[in-house]
Amino acid sequence: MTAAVILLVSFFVLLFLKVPISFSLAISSFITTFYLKIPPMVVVQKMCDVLDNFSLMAIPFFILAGQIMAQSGIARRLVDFSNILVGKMRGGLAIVNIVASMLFGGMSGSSVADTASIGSILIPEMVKKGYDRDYSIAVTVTSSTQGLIIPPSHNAIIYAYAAGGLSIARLFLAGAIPGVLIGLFLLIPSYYIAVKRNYPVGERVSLKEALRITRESILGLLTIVIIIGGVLSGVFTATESSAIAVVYAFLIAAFFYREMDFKKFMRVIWDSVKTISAVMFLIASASAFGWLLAYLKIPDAIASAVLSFSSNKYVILLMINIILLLLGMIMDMAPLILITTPIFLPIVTKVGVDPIHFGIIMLMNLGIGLCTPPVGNTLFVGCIVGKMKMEEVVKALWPFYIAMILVLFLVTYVPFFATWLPSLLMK
Amino acid sequence: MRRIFEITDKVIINILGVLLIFLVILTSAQVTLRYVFNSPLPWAEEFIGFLMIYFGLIGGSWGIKHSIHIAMEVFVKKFMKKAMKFVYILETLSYVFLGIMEIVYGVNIMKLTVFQILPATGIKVSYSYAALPIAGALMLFFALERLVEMKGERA
Repeated sequence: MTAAVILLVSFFVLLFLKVPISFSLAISSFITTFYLKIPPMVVVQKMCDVLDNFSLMAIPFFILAGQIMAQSGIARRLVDFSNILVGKMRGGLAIVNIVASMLFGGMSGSSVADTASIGSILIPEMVKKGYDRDYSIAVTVTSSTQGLIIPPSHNAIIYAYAAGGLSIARLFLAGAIPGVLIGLFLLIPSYYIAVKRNYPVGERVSLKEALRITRESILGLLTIVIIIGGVLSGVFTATESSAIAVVYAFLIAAFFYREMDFKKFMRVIWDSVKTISAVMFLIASASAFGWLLAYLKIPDAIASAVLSFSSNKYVILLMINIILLLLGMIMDMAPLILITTPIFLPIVTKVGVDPIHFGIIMLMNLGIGLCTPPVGNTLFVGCIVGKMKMEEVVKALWPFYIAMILVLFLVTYVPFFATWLPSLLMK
Repeated sequence: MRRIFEITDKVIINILGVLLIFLVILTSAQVTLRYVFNSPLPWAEEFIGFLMIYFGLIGGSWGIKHSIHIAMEVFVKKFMKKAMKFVYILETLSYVFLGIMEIVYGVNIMKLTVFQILPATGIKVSYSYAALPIAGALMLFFALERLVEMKGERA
């Protein structure tokens, strides 16, 4: 009991004093092993063991593939392609923004990369055509969270690992429909506001132009076919498909779109190395922390406390959703997945929730957290790209938050959306 | 002094970049070899895991120079505006602490595994744990830079 208190209190104290999360996790683990008089070596051993894991290699590769995509000019083409599909509607550019993010999400799992690449194209264009700036940022930021759920998603792989090794292919498939649902739900406030404020209708694209754009976009869109098709048919493992995705993304960026020179390539590599180092180091230290949590039976204690309060599946899911929404406001996605999955998953599986379904709930929930102040990476990037202060954008975000929370609860309480596709395609 | 930090930084980011590219090539070569030539490299997965330990740990140490590690700033910004120097030093001390731990227990674990060998590659297990003291030393190195920089600011 004392040990559990030491572990959690030292972690939170360090965390609140601005020690990076990964360091807070490792240091509180060390302090606890000192108190328990178990060999502190176990902490560094756990850190190494988790890195030495072939299935986790998909994380760095998907991050790299997403970075290449973001820099390759594919974003511009997806925007043009979406413009052909939906640009003629009222508030066309807002709808284009959502659809382009949906397509981009099929290549990259990073909402930050999506906001940065699609936002820097569309926000200035929207403002120029008379859309309000805060509205344009709000649409960009919230719609970019589709990519977190639509496969491929490296956060889904982090969850699959944190949940004790779920099938990545199943989790990917489970995310497809909920990811698209987010987009559909975001269309409602976007369109409603567009009509109310009389935002402009998009311009007509000539047939010849439309054919050219479609041809160019299809090469990019094939990525998702390669990844999902490859994993589903058993041609590749998830890790292999992620490496193939990198090679494919690089080839079309360098030789087809011709937008990847050596200098740009090096920048992509460096940016990726930064993100990957942060994520992998976090996974390493979270694994030591998670081991101690389990060793001290903390998840069991929390589970029985929660279950004594209520054993109703719907009440428990509601509570967890609220807790995650609050945590998502102050913490980033990957650490929350790594820290809270070992605690919440045993509770929900006890009341009969499918771990895959719960993963999608968690990803959707924490995706909202990326768009909420005070700590929301995606919102932060959106504000930089859109040149506006966070406080000024928040008012415009409310209708979109409501849409996202509605779709979160829809997927939470109707498991069908998450579980149907995996059960259909994978026996 | 500053130059040494800069050069180390450049060297590490290039090593990590090359390592990343190598990992991609090795993994995709593995797929090609399996499907086209029906003979995957038996040592590839084990070797990739070995390299990943180095990547993750060294990248983690190097990352403190570029502040890649996410921290929660809300609380400090709200309540401890006047104690920012304390916060800075505490953060640096956390790097020093973890650096020392990685060195001490990394060496310990290397001693324990000195006779073990990875089955497919034949690499000594202690070599993979050698990533710990190396990463620990780098962490101390970049923590030192933070202290030097703080002093420079004061002067």
